[in-house]
Amino acid sequence: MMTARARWLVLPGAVGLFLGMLRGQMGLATLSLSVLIWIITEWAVFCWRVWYQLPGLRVSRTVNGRSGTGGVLWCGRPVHVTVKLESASGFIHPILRIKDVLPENVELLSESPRDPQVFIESAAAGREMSAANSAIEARTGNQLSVIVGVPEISWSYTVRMRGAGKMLLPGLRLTIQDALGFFRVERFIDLRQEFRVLPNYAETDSPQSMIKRTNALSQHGIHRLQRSGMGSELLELREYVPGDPPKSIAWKVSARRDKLMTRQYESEVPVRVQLILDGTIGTRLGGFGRRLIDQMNFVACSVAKSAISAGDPVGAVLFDERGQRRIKPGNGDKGFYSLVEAFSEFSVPPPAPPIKLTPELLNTATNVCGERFPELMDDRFNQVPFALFPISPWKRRIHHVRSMLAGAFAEIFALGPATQVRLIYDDAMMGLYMQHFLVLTGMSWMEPVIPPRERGFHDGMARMELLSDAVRTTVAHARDNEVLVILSDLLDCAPAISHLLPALRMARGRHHRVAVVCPSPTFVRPGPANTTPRRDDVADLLFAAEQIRNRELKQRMNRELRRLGIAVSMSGESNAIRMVMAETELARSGRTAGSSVRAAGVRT
Amino acid sequence: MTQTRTSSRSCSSYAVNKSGLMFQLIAYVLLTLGTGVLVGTSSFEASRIAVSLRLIFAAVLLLSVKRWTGTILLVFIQIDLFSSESRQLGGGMGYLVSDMLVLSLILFVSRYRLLRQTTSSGLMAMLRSLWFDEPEPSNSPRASNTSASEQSAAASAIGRSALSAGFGLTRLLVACVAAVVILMILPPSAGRDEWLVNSSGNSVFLWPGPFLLTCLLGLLILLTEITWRQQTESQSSQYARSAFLKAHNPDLRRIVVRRLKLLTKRRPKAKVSDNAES
Repeated sequence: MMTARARWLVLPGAVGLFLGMLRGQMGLATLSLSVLIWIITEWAVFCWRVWYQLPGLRVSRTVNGRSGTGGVLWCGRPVHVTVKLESASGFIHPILRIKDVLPENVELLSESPRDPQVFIESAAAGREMSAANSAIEARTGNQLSVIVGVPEISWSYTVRMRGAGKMLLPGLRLTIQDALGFFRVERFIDLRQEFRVLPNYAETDSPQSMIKRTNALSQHGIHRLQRSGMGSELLELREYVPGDPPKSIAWKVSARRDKLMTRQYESEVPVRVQLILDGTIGTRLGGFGRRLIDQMNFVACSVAKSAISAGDPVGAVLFDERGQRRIKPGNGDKGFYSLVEAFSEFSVPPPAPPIKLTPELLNTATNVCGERFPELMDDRFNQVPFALFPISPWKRRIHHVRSMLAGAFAEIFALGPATQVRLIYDDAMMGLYMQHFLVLTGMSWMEPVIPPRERGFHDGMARMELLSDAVRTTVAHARDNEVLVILSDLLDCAPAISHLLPALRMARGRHHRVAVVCPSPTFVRPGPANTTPRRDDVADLLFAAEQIRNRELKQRMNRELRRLGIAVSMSGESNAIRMVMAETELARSGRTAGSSVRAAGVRT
Repeated sequence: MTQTRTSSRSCSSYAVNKSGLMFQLIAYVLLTLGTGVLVGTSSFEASRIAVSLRLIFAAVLLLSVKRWTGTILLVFIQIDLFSSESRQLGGGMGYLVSDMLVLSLILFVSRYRLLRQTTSSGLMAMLRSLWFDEPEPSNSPRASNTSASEQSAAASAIGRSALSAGFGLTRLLVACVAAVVILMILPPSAGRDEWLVNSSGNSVFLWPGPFLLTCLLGLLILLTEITWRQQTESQSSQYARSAFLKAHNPDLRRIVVRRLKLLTKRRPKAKVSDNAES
């Protein structure tokens, strides 16, 4: 509670009083005693302020104009947050620092408070500013300092969700200081609002065929879709292209224009699209918005949106280490939103695999706990019992920090005293609780929550087995000529691709179209341009090496998959969406060979 | 009641905000320097190197404003008093003015330093940004709507901060008076004879031992009570928990460590039995 500034005044005050009294120097003694009494007076006033003002503070927050405890947000879209703080006494005393604590999934975009009485502190964590720009312009956002007393404060800022899943706004962290900086109290005001974050999607134009190169009928035994379409609505008239059926020629129009014109009808035959989404641990690693599952969600939602707008039902099979979840094909807005909600729920990280306790994990957990639960990390209340061992100062410090964290965890998770003591001495249990705590506070699956993994050297077989099961389930529930879209990080386990091939062969054997979208962890296609290092530094060389490896894996995988007639896209971008839509179009036409497809525009 | 909405911000409010802050910063710098001059001229008179000391004091003052806090100033003055002040009893209220000046100096420096720390920008940076920022044209509708209310808000803010500074000085005066009064009734000032008379009348304690002890105990109880009342529910729970843990820590630690050792011994055996079953 007492800051270093006050402590450094108390020390000379006490020493001066002692020496003054001892030597009978009344000037020195009076001055020193005045300092001590002054600090006690300031402390009493500060205590009064904390005692009376803090319980009377009323905080409210609206997200996109709504103040409920929950709601739905879209990933990648701007979200306007307004925080209002008022006091029951009608006056908020300075100096008060308020920070609306944001989880890692939230990216701060901007904001603006410029009050005559309120000064806005830096919001973007770690954003350094030059002295010239340090006035007010750059210091905006979720953090604010009140320097002069105000009746109420209301300020807004804009954020954006990085990844799909859940987002919890836990509350506000208040730092109350006296006018001289002698005393400080930190409190956390609980103001929980939990939102479901739906993945973003891109709007695509219809990728209708422009040229019909082949007029081949399907082979014997291959059935067109079971539901026949009416095909009676005229879509457009276009110029005749060799290969168009003669009966579709619009003779009257052709005669008027003096060139052959073809009638093109709307297809009313629905094509079922089945999305197979991989949620294994490899796809969940990384920061929010940088995870592979975020890329896959984007492609899956865009494909679903596009297909559903064309009247095609879309279903999904979501699989990870916990099992499979099948979402029945649906149509219309209801179908789309049920799919998107399922993706959002699927993107919430499950309980993380246990990890070892590392110094980094300990430091991160201590910092996060200090920010989220400042009251529980106070030495005066979270007292550490004396222990003779360990003796070494370094180990003693770690023991102290662990004991503090164990005390805080015991309070947060309502643990008993025996468990609290066990947390201090049991590394595995402490690591587990720290990881659980960090995930609960909204940290992504990155180091130190999850240790970094080398790509391509683990669980490839297991993932292929899970994926094969998912493909088999989809095929078992499928009808004729469906489009299976596999969204999985196949590059990571390309050497084990042979385990997946039987399931894919079965799908192809049932005359389904299969498209594979393999997201890239670097957001860069492993092409020739990226395999040459730009500079001779380690990062670029490592990146180039990773790209070369990815390129080789991609070529090998492409060879295997294309042999089965499976389309592959190595990115989670608009090209993948176009590729899937082209496959859907092929399935709709009933042709086996690909045709050139109108380049579909993709709008995010 | 002034509504501080951020939805209708304007450049003029920005300027008012900055100018209000700058006004406070300049005021505290001037007050610090003024009080420093007064303290400098009234102190160090007894020393033979008064001029040098005053120069050093001026340097310390400037450095305190720029980088340090008031502690260095206090220590500097205390050292001067310690070295130059002669032994004397009494003199009570004579020290009031000098103490007030020194403590006011520390107050102004602390306040200025805190404002600078909170705004994270120096006076020069604020001056520069205010100078180079283009104000909104006064004929624009937004400026005309907001300027009047914002000017009045800024004026009231400055008034409030002046009032707050006044209360701060009053508290400081109370502290100085209390210190002088306390030292006037304690033995060094009260005089040896009075101390002897009061102490000889009491067979158990030396005067003013019981009085001081009672006062200190009362103060301690009061402070502890105030501290306890400020705790939140979770802090109280945690305090009770850690008090329990402190009392039973040796036993609990022994039990837990023993259990952990047993667990680590059992684990390899469990693996062997699993293999045998399979």
